[in-house]
Amino acid sequence: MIADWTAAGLTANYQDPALAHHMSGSALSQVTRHLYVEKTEGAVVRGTPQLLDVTFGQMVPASNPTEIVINSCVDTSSWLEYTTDGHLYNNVAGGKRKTQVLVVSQNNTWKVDQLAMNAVGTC
Amino acid sequence: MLSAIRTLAAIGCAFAVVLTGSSWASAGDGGVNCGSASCTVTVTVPGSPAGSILAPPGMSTGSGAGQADPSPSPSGSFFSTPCTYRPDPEYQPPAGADPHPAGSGGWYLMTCPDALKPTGVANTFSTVVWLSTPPPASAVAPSPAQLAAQARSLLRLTTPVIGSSPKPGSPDLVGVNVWAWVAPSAWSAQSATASAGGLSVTATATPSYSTWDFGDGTVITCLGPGTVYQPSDGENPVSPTCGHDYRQAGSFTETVTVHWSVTWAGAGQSGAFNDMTTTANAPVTVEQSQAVVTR
Repeated sequence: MIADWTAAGLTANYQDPALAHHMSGSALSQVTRHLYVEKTEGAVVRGTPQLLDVTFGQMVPASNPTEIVINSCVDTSSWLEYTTDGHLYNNVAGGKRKTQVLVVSQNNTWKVDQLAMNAVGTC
Repeated sequence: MLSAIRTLAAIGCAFAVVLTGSSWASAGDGGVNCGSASCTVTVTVPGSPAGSILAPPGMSTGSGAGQADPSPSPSGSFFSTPCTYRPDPEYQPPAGADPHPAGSGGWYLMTCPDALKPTGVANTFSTVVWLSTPPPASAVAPSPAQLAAQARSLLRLTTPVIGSSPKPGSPDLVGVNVWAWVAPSAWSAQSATASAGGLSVTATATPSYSTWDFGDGTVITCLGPGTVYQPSDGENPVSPTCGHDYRQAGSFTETVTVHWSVTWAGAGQSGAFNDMTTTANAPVTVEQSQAVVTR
């Protein structure tokens, strides 16, 4: 999912069908919107976020769950906005963001359905 | 179990709304969002959205048992000024990626101020939202094209300053080559910027060519400002770029019209306007040269 997002971000391709491979619901909508805004502003996203401290949270139902909350710390220090000609879009630094996702099993496929990434410095 | 979790989620959501407010307000941070029946966690951007602080307003999407977590968040406050909206019919999410409620409505690019500026850099964020009813007119931000029109209206183009040899006001003589030019100081690009709703568009006018009406029926087009005559150019030379040779005596008015190409760029878009023009004129007196008779 992160790989799909980072790949689409390279060209701010909000219509990249690969985004739906591992995302659905509001997570997919929000990533789509994010990339669209990048596109309208002439920005792309380069680099790769680092996924740290991954832990499982709630599971619904508790046995044989179909919905699971996953907590993590995403370091966006090397995942920044650039202009299309390769310059940093701004001087806002990335950093460690407390991140939650809700993964949902749909037709035997797990997809990230909801996603929240909090402020830099929250983990 | 599920209902219990939903209850927890609902409880968490009350928190989440606060988080959303503050995390939206911080640069590029997401948060948690609630709908009427469930919560969703919202995404944000990597790194550093500039002006694009990407914390979309969460969409409430049905069955989510999204756990609202009172995540640590910078202290903050809610927005003190309202968001602005710009109709954005160009947003065409791929099928299934971003469904919107059935019925009328439209996509808007929403731009909201940040209440928090932890980096001191970003002060707005933008996202796309579906609105089933248009926002009040006071909250509708101009489109880039509308801003471009504003920027164009803010352009203050330099009035051309006529230069010529012989000097303006000095009598010219039939048969003497006139050099015509626009003072270089009046031949440079001008720009103006209009901003609203987190968007900024700059219109730039660039002088491209000039037309000269010498008042005796001759009209010529010069591709640039013309060439400034220098004494080192010699006696009665022909201007290499822009000039005229009056063939009759009389009083004329010479008029120069500078044509400016006008383009605009900003908010991820660009375009061009029709040319703009500026003009100036000057009186010209042409005298018949007197033959010098020597004995």
